[in-house]
Amino acid sequence: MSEKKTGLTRRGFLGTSGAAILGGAVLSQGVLNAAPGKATDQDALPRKWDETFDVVVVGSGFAALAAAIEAKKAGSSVAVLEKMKTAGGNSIINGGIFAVAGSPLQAKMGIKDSPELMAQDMIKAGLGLNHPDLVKLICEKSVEAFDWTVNELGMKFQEGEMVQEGGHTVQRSIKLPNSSGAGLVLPELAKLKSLGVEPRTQTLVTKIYRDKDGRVKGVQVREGYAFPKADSGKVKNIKARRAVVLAHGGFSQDVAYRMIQDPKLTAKFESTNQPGATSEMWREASRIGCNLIQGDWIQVGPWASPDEKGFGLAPHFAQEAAAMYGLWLNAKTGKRFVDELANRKVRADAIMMLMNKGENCIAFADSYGVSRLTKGIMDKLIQRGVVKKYDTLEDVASAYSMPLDAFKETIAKYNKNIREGVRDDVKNSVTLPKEVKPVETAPYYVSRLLPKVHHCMGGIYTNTAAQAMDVSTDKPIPSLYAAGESTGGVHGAVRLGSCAITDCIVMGRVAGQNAAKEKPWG
Amino acid sequence: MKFPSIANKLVSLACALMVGACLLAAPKRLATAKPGQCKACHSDKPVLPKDHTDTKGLSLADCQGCHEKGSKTSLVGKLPLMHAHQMKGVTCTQCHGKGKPEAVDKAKCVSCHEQKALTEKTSKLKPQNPHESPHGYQEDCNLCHHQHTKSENFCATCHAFDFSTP
Repeated sequence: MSEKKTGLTRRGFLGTSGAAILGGAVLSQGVLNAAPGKATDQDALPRKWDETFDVVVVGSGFAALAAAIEAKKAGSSVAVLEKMKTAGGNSIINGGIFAVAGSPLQAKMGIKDSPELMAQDMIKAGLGLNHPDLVKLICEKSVEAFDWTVNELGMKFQEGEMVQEGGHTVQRSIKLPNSSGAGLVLPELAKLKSLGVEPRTQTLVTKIYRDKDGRVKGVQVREGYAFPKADSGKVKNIKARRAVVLAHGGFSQDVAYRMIQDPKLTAKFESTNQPGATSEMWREASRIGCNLIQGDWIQVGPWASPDEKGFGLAPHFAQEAAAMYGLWLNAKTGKRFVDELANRKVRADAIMMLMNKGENCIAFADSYGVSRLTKGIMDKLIQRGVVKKYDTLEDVASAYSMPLDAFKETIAKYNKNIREGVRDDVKNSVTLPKEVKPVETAPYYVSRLLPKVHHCMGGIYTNTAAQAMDVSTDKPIPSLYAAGESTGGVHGAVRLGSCAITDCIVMGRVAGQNAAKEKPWG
Repeated sequence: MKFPSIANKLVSLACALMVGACLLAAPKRLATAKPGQCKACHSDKPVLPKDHTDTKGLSLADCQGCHEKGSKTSLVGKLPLMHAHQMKGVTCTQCHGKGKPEAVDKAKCVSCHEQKALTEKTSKLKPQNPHESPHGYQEDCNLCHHQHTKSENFCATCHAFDFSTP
């Protein structure tokens, strides 16, 4: 189906990336001893190192913690550096869905899926900007990543429930416990603690030391840093005997930097991110010769709400109830305006275009739709006034000044398609969830839609061994690894919802394993 | 009333003094100061209104006689928490040990403020029980409840939750 559109066939897919995978994910010593890159700007190393670790991990989100766990398990001493007061970065407030192609949960629900299909979905949404070898690795290792959360972290997942985020042709997104990325970050932190490592919070990295021989040898930090005071904390130098792993996340909260990348994203756009999602490490990675790619592809999340701050809980309702089992409507016309299960960019662009014309959009679901949500979420949403409840369609129309007849006609048409099993003419890019039903059970529920700046698809260019590549030589920068949102080229133009966790766990682990294999210096 | 917690990391007196030094003239941290003797530490600048009752010899319960909980003059969230501790007779050394002040971890806080009871106590708070954060932040008391600076509503980093934090 989408093979034609993306030009991606299974054979082509395997053909272009197979070789890179073989030499990549599992590092051979040859790759480890990569030719020194030509650093664009070297630093004199400090005369004295205050502390020494085998592996220094920058950041403390999904990817950083996965890297730290793997490096520690491989016998390395590990420091995890986090500039904020709390560990977990943006991951700890993430929406909590995890894309796995061919999971046991899918099998139990009779959903057919494969790494190839997931890759095809990612590349289609990514407009082919995704580096196929990275996509292939992540999709193929998605089940392994899931198994790792179960076997290594001891996580348990609710069976019989699965989320379908926009752009995924099948339901493949597993809900994390407690409907938040915290459901995975907290077990990662606990695992790391059991290995004797705790993130060092309020520790800002101010410099990456890249020596004249091209190798990264340590970092300069400010310990006791109080975000966002640049000169707070005490300067220290930490030697990285084996490697540094950059897993510092994105810059959605950094208005100046994001406007350099995409001038449209001015201060008037709120972000779903925690305030520490800023650009310091992006600038520093550039300075030492990393190749930062595709930085102007910044995702705006379509499902957020003006009635709460940040990411909040509205995305659960707007996606898991309204987009999957209900409708998104233009309140001015009472009509649908976008495929509710299209990728995030298609949907956010559609909403922003209408908002610029002074038209507002809502997410709408009936009682059956909200019954699909994880227990407890609706109570909070109603109580916080983010989702409103209405007894009749008339009440909904009147509350949002929506033309009643057009609204009713829109619902009738959708319901007819569902009832007759006809492919819906709007929500038509994907296979609808099997559990989908006509929208007709009162009471009804509505959230207002306001897109918010959400995710940076671009970042440090890495190979499948998670090595950061040198901008001058296209060779790996010796002893420098990167994973997660800090990297680019995995998701291309548009990241599909729930693929971030997969990316972070797979590449974080690869980075940690390979970092621990580097030969110590000095 | 029970006051939730001190806590974790960086709460050594030395650190607190450094922080204090950055803000104007830091009050002294006298381990020997008697509860209610404001001047013992705040010698530079009077901290109470001119016509305020002499606090010498007062206990926290006495203060709450006028500054009633829930009223406009309530002291909740207005004073760094160590004052409440001090006035209830919990002195510096009980948390920081004798000799060189030690950092205080959560175990110390929950040895008086039992966590389950605390969670129950805030269960009616809307829109979310702060002691049941899905992000696990209740494991670090000091994120919200500071002893030597004003407490903060850490949830407000990302949410518009309107809590006044003791």
